[in-house]
Amino acid sequence: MKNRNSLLLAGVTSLVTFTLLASLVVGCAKPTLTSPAPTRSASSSATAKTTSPVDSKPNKQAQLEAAAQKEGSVAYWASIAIDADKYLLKFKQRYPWLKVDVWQADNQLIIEKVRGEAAAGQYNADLMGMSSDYWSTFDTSLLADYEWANASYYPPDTFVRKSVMLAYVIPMGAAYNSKLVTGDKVPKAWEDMKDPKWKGKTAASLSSRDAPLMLAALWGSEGKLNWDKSFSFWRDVFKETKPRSVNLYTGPVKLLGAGEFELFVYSPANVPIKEKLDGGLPTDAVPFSPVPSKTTGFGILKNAPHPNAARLLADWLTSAEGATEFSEVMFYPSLHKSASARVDRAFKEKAMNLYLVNPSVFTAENFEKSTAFWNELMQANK
Amino acid sequence: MPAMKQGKHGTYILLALGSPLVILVVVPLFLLLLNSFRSVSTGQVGFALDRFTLHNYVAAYSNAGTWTMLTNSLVFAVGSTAGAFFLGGAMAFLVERTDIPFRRFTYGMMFVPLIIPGMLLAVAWVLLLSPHIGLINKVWMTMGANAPLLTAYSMPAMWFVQSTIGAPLTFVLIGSALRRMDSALEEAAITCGASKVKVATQITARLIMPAIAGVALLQFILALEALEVPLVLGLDSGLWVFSTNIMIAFQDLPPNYGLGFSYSVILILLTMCGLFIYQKVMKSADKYVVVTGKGYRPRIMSLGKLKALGVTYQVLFALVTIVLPLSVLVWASLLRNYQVPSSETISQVNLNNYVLVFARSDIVRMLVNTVILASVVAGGVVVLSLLLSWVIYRARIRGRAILDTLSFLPYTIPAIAMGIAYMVVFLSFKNPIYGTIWILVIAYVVRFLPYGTRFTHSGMTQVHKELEEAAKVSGASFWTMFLRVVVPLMKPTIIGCGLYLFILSVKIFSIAVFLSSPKSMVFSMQIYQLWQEGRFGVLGALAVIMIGSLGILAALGGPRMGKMLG
Repeated sequence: MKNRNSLLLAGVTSLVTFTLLASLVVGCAKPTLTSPAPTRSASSSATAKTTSPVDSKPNKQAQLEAAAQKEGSVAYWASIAIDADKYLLKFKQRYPWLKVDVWQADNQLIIEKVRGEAAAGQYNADLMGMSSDYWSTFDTSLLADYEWANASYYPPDTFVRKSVMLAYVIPMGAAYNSKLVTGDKVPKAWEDMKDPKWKGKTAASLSSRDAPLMLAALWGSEGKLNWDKSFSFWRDVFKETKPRSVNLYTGPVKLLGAGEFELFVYSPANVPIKEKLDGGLPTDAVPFSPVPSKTTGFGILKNAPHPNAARLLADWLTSAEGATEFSEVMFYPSLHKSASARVDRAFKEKAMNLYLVNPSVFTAENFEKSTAFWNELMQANK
Repeated sequence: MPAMKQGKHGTYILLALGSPLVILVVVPLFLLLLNSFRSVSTGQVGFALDRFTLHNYVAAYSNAGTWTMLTNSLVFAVGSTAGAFFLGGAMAFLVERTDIPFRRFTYGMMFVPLIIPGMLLAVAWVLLLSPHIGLINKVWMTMGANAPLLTAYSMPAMWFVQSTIGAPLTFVLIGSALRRMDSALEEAAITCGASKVKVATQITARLIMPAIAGVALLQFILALEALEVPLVLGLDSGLWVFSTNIMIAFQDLPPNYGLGFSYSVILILLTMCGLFIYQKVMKSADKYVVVTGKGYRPRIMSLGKLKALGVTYQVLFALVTIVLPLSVLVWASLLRNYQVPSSETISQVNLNNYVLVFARSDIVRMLVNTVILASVVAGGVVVLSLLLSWVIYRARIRGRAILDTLSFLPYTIPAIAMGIAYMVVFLSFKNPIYGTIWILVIAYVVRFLPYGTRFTHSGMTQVHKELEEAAKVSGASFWTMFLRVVVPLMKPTIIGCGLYLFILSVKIFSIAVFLSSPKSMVFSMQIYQLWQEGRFGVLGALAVIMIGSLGILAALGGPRMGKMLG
């Protein structure tokens, strides 16, 4: 009896511990935690679809839609997915049979998750959306080459090989609280932010790693980066105004609007305008001109579990309809020739010209240099 | 009879329980240590005997910033320990040894902060103590002050918030020691004419000195490995500590794995040293034995005129640990954009954020993930702990002490280091677990095993083996005996333990931050992301829903959980 007991105990304890792992392995192979894909029939999609969202090759588009429908869902991981539920509304209406799983996170986190999963032999993401500086640090061997359906509508230098299509512009400037900073007090040029009058009233984000690089590009000439001027400028800003560090991704503009500080020394210029128009926050972009701008865009993963659905979504996001929707909701100017949105008008009204930084400066080396300087500045800032 | 003697079957049992523990505890630690001596990027992390370097340690400890960080860590840990000790210890004394009113109510109240995740408390205190929009500072400055009362982004604020997180545990542990203490010596001192203060400081405090030292060390370790408060409050004030340095190393471009690993190894060593001293202190507690076989009742001290002061302390405690943080989260949940209360903002109050929480499929999926994760972890740990306790206390097999040590080992590993160690393991080979909820389940089960065994060891020692022997004599098989005698007798322990582990699983952030993915998003990580995005309204709504749910659970099983903890 004792023997049987001990064997039984040994067996069951092994079962509980080892099979906990084993069952999990089996369990995790099935996406049990996600709700099932919509099961609308193909006919419903036919009624929903009126015109092709892709600006060319309708037959190819029909094949793509059929293949995507078979896949049933698409995983879209992007730093530019904060309001994806809004800007994908028309896409979802057009393709009600396609479930879109969105994950919004910081660019760096997305890169690490995709890399980590690849190292573990797992592939969950289909389409990634990141800004051009982060694409430079990403291993493009993880991306699929793609003949972008709407390429002809975009400038020829907005591609990173055939893998990434950079479709939207991110103007990088500064933001201020329009209730607390009024009239002549609003800075007119970057240099105005070095004024000691701002001491104790400014903030800078830990995640603004591209700030030194963007100003080095703005103040450079003939393709050369002016690191010295940029480094010197940021050192002065930190020395004179002692900006408060904020460890937030898009949160600082909300804090700015709430009145936590008056001036946010480096921010996407479109975000404070959007918050003012859509959220009623007293925020605005400092009217620098030209505004150094980078781009943001999309890449399809080589081992995407739903490659056709990823292509369908990528094509829509870069189509005239998708570009307009995205720009209206996210307030990023589009590079699409025929897309037009209120963001373009807003910058025009403010006489803010966008200076598109040449994507070639976004190398891993430059980005690391910029990151190292920024981290050092932030750590020394007390 | 159920006891098993050494033999090949004993060896089987040791192997069956011991080998998974070795795989799940020792292997991750070994891989973390190994990789801290390698120069690696994402695809190179894992078991390989190449790319060896001392550069990670040299880079970490030749940097002047590291010593500042080390100083910050120690200052933060010492201050938080003192704060938690003052807040929780004083309350324990008031409740256990004085005639302060509302003692039962206060006892129950002390468990409320236990269910509030540290990340939420940190966020709530930012909204209360921000220099310009913090509610408390706003009120303070409208009263005519020129400067904020306390700035959220400062070391004193970090001490304060971490203290409110640590106070309930201090209360439970110190309270337990006070409750079990024989008051004969105190009575003798009073008979000899000693004052109340002298009795409290010269007799009571000295008698529970081992418990005080133990709790202080425990709080020190918890503060040393804490991530939430240093991340939300410390980074913004340039006060970097070990845990934040580790996290930032992994967020660098490209991620500085080597640096993160080397910091983690040092943090583990520091924690192990702390726990080693803790165990030494607790072993020497014998010379302070105050609980004997003799019947006794703790002496209740009359507060007299000090009663009003005691009640004020109770009210203030409830205010700072429960009322203020929860109120500001509720307020945030009612607004689209966080604003300080005013006639203008009151007109903007609505419930849209609550609607949004349930309308967003990713948040609903996160809530489902969290419930599944917490349930599986609580269940898994309870089952493993019961089996381990039975083998350790009932099966007379040689080497069972090894199981006890192995099951306690995860306690010595800071949660953040455990998260990283598991990341290293699952990045080392192709597997279907990385990026799913199950990697979190495994890491949490291992992390919480020492907590589970603490409950079940205690429960097992309270159940005499006579009942198991009677069952065996009556012909019951081992499993009949185990399931129909041991388990029912241990039911209160199982419920209390399960509930406590469920709450811990919902709260913990340091592991989730490294191991959760879009498919395995859980509550603590979602809160952090919402905070980063500045979506304070949705964050507040989610916090209210989660704290409310956990509160109901704790109310149902609270007394059992309290008994087990205390």
